[in-house]
Amino acid sequence: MAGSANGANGTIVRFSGASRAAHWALAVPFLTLLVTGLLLFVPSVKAVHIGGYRLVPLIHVLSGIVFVLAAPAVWLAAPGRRLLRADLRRLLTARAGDLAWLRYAGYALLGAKLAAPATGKFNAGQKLNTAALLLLSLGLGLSGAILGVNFFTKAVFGSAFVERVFPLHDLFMLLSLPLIAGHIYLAAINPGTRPSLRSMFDGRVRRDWALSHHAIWVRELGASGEASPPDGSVART
Amino acid sequence: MIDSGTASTPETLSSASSAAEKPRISRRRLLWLGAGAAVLIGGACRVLSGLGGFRINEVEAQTPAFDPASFQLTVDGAVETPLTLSWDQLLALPSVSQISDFHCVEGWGVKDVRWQGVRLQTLVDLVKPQNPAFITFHSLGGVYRDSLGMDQALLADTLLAYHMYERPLTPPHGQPLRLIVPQMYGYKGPKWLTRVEFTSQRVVGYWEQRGWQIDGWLS
Repeated sequence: MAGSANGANGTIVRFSGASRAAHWALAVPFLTLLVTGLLLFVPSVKAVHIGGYRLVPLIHVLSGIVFVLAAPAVWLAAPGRRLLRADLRRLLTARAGDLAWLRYAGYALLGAKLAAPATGKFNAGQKLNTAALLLLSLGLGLSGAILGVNFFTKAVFGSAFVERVFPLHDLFMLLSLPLIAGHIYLAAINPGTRPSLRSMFDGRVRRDWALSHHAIWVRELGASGEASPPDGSVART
Repeated sequence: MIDSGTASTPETLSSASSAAEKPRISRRRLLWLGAGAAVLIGGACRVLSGLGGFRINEVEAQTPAFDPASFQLTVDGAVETPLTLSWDQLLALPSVSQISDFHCVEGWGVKDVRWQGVRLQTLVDLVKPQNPAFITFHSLGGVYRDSLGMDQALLADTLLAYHMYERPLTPPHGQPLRLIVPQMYGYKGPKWLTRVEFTSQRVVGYWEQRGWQIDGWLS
């Protein structure tokens, strides 16, 4: 049963349709922006144009408009907004155990063999990554909006102001690169975490994987019984 | 059903990992990680220091090649004394240095760029124009060109530059010669210059043919 915590074939629901829609509505334009932004450093590619508009810069700017509009659009349009809000609240709320997880992650990166602390629906790394990318996206969106306006008309902002914003946009991009690379690596390549990739497509994860990686969350699901909402969020008392 | 034994609390795991599970990290791994971190930090510093620098723009399929032995700068058109200068003859002309900001229409700019080269006025004095209204600047690749009105071309800081930061221009920056017009966006200053042509009619430049502003004054 799709709406229950325990599904067929030993899977449980991890992400609602609204959360998945929000993720992809931001991820697709972000990746398009990243690729076209990096192509701006290849002069022969950047020179390709249609009329007076160079193609790669134009796609970059248009993708930026989609990126800036995507978050509010999903927020307003997604039918399961409550579930999306629940995921965001969990992602942006620190809890006991986050420090222990960070300590574990630090040692694990250094090659130490340690048992992973049990975590809730999201571990401290996922929370930090989300907060950092939200801030960087805000910076990229604001600086990009100024550069985007400058792309179409020079009548709004003076060149001195735009030239101050330009390197900031680059800086935010450079800071977001390792975060996005790490996110894609952990989501799609790293064997231990790769099993969760499907949850961004069909919303579900294997129950045994969830138990070994997000045990507290699974326990909360169990405590709330079969009537758990499809994202596995738990009503707070 | 949840196996409560599997899902222990963070507090118990934290204390367990600090007491029973003393983290052990090999010295060799630490060394490798340290070296990797140093390379990463060095690379990041290098990239960060490049922020605010020049971006390269060119419309040619290949960066035009410069050969000092065969290079010629032709100065012709509506002039009394057309001129063809070899690379050595160009370098022998009186040169000036200037520090000026560079602005690109894309929105980036570079402050206090140190250029060295020949004032356009020097060439004007040599060829004696016959009252033309415009000057067209042609690039080596045969693709890019742009023009300025005489009054624009003879602004005090308009320069035919062959040195940048006390070194010869590199190929992406227009080696051997580029036009610098600090008061206009960079697309008004062709790189890889090979011909300066005085005309009575304006020759519309590469990007202006595609709808860009003919006058590239800064906003």
